[in-house]
Amino acid sequence: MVKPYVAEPFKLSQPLGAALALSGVRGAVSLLIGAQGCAIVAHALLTRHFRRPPPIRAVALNELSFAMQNDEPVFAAMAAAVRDDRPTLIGLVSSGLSETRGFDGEALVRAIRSRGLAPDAALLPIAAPDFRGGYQDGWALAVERLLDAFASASEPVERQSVALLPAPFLSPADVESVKDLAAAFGLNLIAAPDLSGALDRREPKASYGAVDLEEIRRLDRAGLVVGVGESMRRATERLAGRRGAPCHILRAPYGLAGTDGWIQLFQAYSGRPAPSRLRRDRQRLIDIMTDFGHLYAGETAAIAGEVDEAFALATFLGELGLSVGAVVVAAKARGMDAIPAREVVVGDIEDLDQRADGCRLIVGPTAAQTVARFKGAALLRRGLPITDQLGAPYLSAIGYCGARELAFRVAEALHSAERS
Amino acid sequence: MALQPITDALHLIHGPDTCLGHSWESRPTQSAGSTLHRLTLSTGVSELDVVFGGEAKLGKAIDALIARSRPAALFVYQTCLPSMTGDDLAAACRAASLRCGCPVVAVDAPGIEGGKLWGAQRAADILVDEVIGTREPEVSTDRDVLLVGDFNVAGEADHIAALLARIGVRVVASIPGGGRFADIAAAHRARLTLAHCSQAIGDLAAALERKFGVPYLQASFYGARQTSDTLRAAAARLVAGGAAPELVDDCERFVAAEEQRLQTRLRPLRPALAGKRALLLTGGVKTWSLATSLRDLGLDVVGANTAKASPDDRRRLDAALAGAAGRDLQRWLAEERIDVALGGGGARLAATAAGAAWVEVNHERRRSFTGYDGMARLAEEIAAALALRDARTASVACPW
Repeated sequence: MVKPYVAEPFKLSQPLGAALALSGVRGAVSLLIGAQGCAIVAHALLTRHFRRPPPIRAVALNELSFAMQNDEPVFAAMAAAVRDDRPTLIGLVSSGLSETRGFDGEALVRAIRSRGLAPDAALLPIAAPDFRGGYQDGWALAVERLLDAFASASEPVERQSVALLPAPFLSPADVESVKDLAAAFGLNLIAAPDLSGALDRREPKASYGAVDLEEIRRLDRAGLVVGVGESMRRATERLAGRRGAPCHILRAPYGLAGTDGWIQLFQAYSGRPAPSRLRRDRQRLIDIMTDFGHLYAGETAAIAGEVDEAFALATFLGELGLSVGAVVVAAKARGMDAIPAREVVVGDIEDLDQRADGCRLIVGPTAAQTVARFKGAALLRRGLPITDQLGAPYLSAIGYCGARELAFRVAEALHSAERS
Repeated sequence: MALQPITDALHLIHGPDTCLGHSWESRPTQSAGSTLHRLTLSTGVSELDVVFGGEAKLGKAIDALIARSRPAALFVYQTCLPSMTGDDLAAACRAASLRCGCPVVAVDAPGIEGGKLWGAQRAADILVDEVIGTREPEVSTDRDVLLVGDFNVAGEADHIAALLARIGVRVVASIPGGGRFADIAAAHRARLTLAHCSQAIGDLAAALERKFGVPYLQASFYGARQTSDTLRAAAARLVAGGAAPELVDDCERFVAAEEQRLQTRLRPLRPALAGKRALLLTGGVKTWSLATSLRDLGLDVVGANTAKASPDDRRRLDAALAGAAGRDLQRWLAEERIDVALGGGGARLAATAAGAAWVEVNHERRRSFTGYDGMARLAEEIAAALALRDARTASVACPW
């Protein structure tokens, strides 16, 4: 039976995902069109995870503007954003509230244009109701809209140029590591969105973005398009389809097999051999997995996350030798049934609690901490938001070195659970 | 938010999960006993409920939750979406109350109708109209007080109760922080209300006086001077209301001893604090009492942000700062040389980027700044933040 309430949800909303995706474009600002609380929540949560305020603004619909179908609050928020932030791109992200009223993004853009507001900024309406889907869906939707609207420079295809469309579970440092890996094969990889600007201390009002709108416009000249996560399949295939470029979806980007996948992809595409250093790192990872395999074998983990993330982490833990018992995903999504675990359900932290008996390792965002505490298990913090530990955005699990570090963290976590 | 700290009740949000504000840990209101209030619950309103209405779903959720946890009460909060689609929250809660034999209180204050202060006022009205006065206390003394407007962040309401206990005054209920539903229901028998934060829960203190004749006084426990003043005033009012007159002498003895102890503890810190330029970015609440405390510690309060302060707070602040209160954060940071900024999360980055030390004093704080010990802790934190800033400035230059 489906329980009639939700206790301790860890689901993040579609509008939050869409706004986060746009935060990954330099100079972008998102207006969340809902009650004031909708944007305040998203803003506070991302600030606590990234330790930087995100470029998200509230529109603050009120009863009157809602009833009268009046867009004045949007115009006012837009004027304030233009005045304070001088954005190059403004996202108009709807919420459940504006969707219930009826959200016509194109009409809103026309109204803004006819008033001469934000003449220097590109506008991108995104319909992302929060009563449906989760943040990976909102993120994917925003990336699709972004590429559809802008990636059409129609310049000649550039063979050395690779486009990466990451799911939001990749940390900014993960994305940087993929860039470095591609560079080792002489490839110029551009990620969209790219949140790694959040790692640099810039102006308080700068976005997290490390990719320009101009670079996104020219993204269709990429000779290869790589998507990470099942949710990015549509955006990846659509971008690649424009110029007939080859495309790949990597659903398990971490670990030995995952890194082998990246290297094979880049090697085959570039025609260059892998640097010898990678071979050495690979052997070290294998040694560690062999030497410390006994720490992982026979242990059971439970995971709370969105579908793409849970798939990647369950695959990685399985490679180390743990068995994955329950996986609780925040929202239903494609690829859910493929997660390598004993049981996969849509639910909340209470559902995780009821399925985590006998687990020594809980994997999830800070919200899962209570479960770990009650069960005497360790918490491996993954996902969004992580508010009780610094540095999640700086942590890369990509490559053989990243996998090695994550394997050590899992071992430490298991060890600490044993002692307590 | 104003009611959620009531500890032995369940708090159910009728709306999409998002409306919970992803709130785990973000409001660390503590409890000495039950922690039911920390459970974040929603009815998970989905697309179908928007189309067909969510009342039936709400009823089922209430039944299941009362069966699950047997709470002292259940508060149900309306959100924008179901308020627009016309779910009748009050009717659903009345029906559930009768069905389950447990108080189910409807809180109809969706975000779209007003801001945080308006919601807090609604919360106060609901408590006065529907909760307070519905039960008689088991024991009642002439030294019973009611604490209103503290959220028990970092256990501050518990600290205040402990402080009052030292002079023989009993806190019968704290609203909302650390409060228990049954105590709040019997709160009308208290002899005095101490209104700690002026706007956290509307004008609850004044409403209690109007309806039940419980007098109130503005209380502050931020800073030694305010703490002493508040203790003295409370003792005098209780004695005027019939308590034994020794209370006043007990209070004086305690205040003298505590102030002595505090000065001893502050003495080594004073040189580091003297003349340092401070900026208050606390968003209004308790700004005026903090400003006074900082002055007492020897700091120079250059300015304060009053964007979220009530008119009453602003008047007190203007009096305390002689006109230094204003709004524009960026301008201060650019034009004034600020040594230390005190405030909440959002302004931290701007302040540290401008080279100021930072002390967290809003709801993310983990240490209590109330009472005499709180004043000492505040001084220690400011001194530590200043030392850290100086060390950081020195290490920026590369030695090789």
